[in-house]
Amino acid sequence: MSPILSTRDLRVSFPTPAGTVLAVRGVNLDVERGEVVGIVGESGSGKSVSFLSIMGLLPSSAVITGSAVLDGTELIGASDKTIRSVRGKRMAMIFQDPLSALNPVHRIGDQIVEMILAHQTMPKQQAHDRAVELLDLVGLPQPALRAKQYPHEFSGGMRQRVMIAMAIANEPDVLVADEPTTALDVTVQAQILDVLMEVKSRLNTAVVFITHDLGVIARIADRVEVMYAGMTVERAQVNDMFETPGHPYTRGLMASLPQAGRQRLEPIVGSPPNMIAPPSGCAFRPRCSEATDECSSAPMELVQVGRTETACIRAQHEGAAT
Amino acid sequence: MPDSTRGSSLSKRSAATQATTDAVAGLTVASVSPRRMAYMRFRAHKAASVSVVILAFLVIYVLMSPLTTRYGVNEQIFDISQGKNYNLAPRAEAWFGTDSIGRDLYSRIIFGLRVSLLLGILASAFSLAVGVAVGSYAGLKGGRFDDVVMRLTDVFLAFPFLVALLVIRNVLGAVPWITAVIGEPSSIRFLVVLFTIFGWMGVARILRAQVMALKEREFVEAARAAGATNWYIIRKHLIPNSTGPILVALSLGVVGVIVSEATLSLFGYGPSPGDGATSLGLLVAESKLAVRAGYWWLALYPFAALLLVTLCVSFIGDGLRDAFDPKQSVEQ
Amino acid sequence: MKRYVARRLLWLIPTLLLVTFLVYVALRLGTDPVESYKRANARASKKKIQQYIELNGLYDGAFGYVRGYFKWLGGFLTGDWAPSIKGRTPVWPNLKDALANSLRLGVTASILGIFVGNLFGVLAALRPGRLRDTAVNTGALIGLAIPPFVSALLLQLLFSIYWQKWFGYSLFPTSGVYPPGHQGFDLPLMLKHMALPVVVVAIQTIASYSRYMRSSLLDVLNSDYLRTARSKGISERQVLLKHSLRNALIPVTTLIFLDIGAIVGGLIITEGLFEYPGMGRFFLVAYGNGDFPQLMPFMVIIVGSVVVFNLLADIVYARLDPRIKLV
Repeated sequence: MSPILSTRDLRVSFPTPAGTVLAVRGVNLDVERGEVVGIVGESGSGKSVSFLSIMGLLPSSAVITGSAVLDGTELIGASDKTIRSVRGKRMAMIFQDPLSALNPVHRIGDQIVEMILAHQTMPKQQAHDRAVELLDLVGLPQPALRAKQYPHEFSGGMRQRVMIAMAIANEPDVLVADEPTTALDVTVQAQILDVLMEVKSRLNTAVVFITHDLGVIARIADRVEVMYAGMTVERAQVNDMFETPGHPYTRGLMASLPQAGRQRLEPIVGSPPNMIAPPSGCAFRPRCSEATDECSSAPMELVQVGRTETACIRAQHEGAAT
Repeated sequence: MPDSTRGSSLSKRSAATQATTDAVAGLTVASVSPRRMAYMRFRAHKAASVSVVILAFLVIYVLMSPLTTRYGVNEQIFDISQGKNYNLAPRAEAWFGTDSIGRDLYSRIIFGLRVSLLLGILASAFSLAVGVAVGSYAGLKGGRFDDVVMRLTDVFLAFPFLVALLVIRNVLGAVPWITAVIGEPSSIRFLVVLFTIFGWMGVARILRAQVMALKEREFVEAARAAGATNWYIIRKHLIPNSTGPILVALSLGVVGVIVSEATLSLFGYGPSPGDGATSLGLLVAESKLAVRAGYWWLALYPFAALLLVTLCVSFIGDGLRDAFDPKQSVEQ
Repeated sequence: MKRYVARRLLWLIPTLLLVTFLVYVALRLGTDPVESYKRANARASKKKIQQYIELNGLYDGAFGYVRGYFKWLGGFLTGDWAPSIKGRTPVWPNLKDALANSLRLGVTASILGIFVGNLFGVLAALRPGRLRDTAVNTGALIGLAIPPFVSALLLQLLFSIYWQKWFGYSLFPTSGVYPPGHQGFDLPLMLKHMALPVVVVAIQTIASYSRYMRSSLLDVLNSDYLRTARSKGISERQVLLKHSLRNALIPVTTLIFLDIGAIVGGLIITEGLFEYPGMGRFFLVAYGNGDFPQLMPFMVIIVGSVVVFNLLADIVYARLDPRIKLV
């Protein structure tokens, strides 16, 4: 079966007064139907921008090249009509801060109805009933009452459930969740993840979960893509990733997690690179404890090494040697 | 005057969006102080930057009035025995012409500017002082005090400005001990007090709105936890974080006072500082009749001066607003 | 919501009472009604003066003020108004005419402001940084910075005096609603007379609304919920109408109500310069004469209008924006 979403050499850049920011520098990504892909990276790694660009939600000053095919439809450079027919229907997005992502003066029910009626024709009352059903599906108590309320009357977790309900209203093939739990309490986080997984299995939707939290990845992802400085540096099934991380950055991420028994946290030294002039070769080189001279001209391509695909040429050499 | 407290809470940019934009712009590394960024945004506002230069030049020119004026404020350009000296069109001896008594309009404009600018700056400075104090205290304390202040300002602002101005002017003028303290209704002192009475309320409202937005922030909570008094918090935290609205209020205030003074003068209720001293408003008022007779210069130059000042200050105010509230600026 | 409205309405009466009482005090202190009466009627007998005092509730002393206020209030509410100190002409007919004229002027200028101004503001905010935006913003700033009397005098000069000189006739008259001595209702003539004052006021209202709308819309255009709206796949037009404009109009609507409330007060400067017989002129004349029986009803109407419309503005705002906490 072919992947539901496929990107090839996706590149996004932004002109700024200080220079052109190369936010995404050639991302090749496949999402299979029904799978949960976790996208991990720091702020600035390009993880959100990649998917915003696929959905055409970036400011018009953004320059996007490459290809992104959703179930046979090319999205990069597509007409407005095409993009609009895809958005909300075949590919939907959940954003990080549900309070600012929801229109404060529209009722919750109406906002979901808007999503429904954007792609399905039905009488308003029916759409409204459907909206209430969706709210019930995501576990909101008293859905009919809640549908008449406004975003500020909800708690953070409830708002995020609403966002999920809205996103699945038209049963999209791909659901992109952009750090949906980052702004929530840990306990609420767990609830939202449960809702998400429940919804996914019910609709067999592919889920792209963007986050910087490895714990969440461990919990729900089937497969993981690690992004750094606008490119993918490692890709693996989730268990393989955690057991044998191939890339120094991935290892660094795991090492910086608090663990029972470990005395000290080990952060990754340095800070994310300047995306106007990223380091040549492997972008992680300045922060990598294992870097060699060769790294400054390394191509940053993913090669299967052991159980993961990694872009680290050292790992690649070692892998070839074995 | 639109009530600026209402519109500002309409939306908040999420931290995530800002982080994405910052990250996208490679700003996770560099950091520029807010003050410097405000300055840079101000500079980007072309009209404001030009206005600062013009206004600065004007102020300096006016301050150097012993040097820059050609005649005294009440001095005729030459004695009447030497020929007609009144209502003369612009010429070498009087660059802007002369008025009905033969005085040099150019010099009088400079003197008038001095008075008007002084009035404007003083009145808005005092309004600012009172308004900032009352407004920030009301915003911070909330409760009864805030309610009362709000009611009071609402009531006062319910009156058309000029109506209230004239009535208050009369009331103040009628009470003897008040005039003993602040001067007669036609003195500069009186006008400063009068305009302050009106000016502080607008400022108070703005500050109140600003403080109410700020007081939920952690640094206020932290200061309180450290035992700071309300006034300390206001002085050290809230006011410095409100420089934007304060500066904008100041600039609007100056324009308002200058225009109000001119309006009062137009109807005969303006200052009469004696000894022929004059203000821009008085010059404008004097020109009304002269214009019908065709002495256009008597209107043109005072009007031009007035417009120049109000336009410059307005642009500067707009530049300041852009500088401190980037959402409104145009570079997005 | 209903409780909020009920509570505000309840407070309305005491507020109006308090404010009008303050007005009463201010006018008595400021204009010295009795002296003004004596000046206007130099040969009035003591009896007539006493009558005047009784009629208007002008008793002396602190308690007298309170007593006097209520006496006056009683007369006002029962429609039993004291006549003007000049010629004992009844107050209401003049006031009514002044009110009508001010409403005509104010409403016309406001309508222009609302439609044209908001349109400009929207156009500017939709293309921030471009020529459109700079033009509207700068234009509005200039419009607001020019004091009304300057534009009034300039327009008068241009269209009346100099036009006369150059073309031999006066394009727009500069005074009054009708030429002196005109009787009856004549719409085209009235419009001609109103043209210049309306322009002067409209400059301000258009500038004001365009700035306000621009500011409000820019705020909205930077919000996250627009991105969410787009992600639903709805058309740009829908995004603009249902989300951007809908939200941006909320503070502007408040402004509209406040604006209307202020129209009743008239525009002293503009009316004075154009000798337009509106509320502003009414005030100037009455004030100049110290005409208490005219000034009090005038003030009450103005203040009443502003207070009522402020209330309406608050209620409408609460209705439109569900986030407002109703205190």
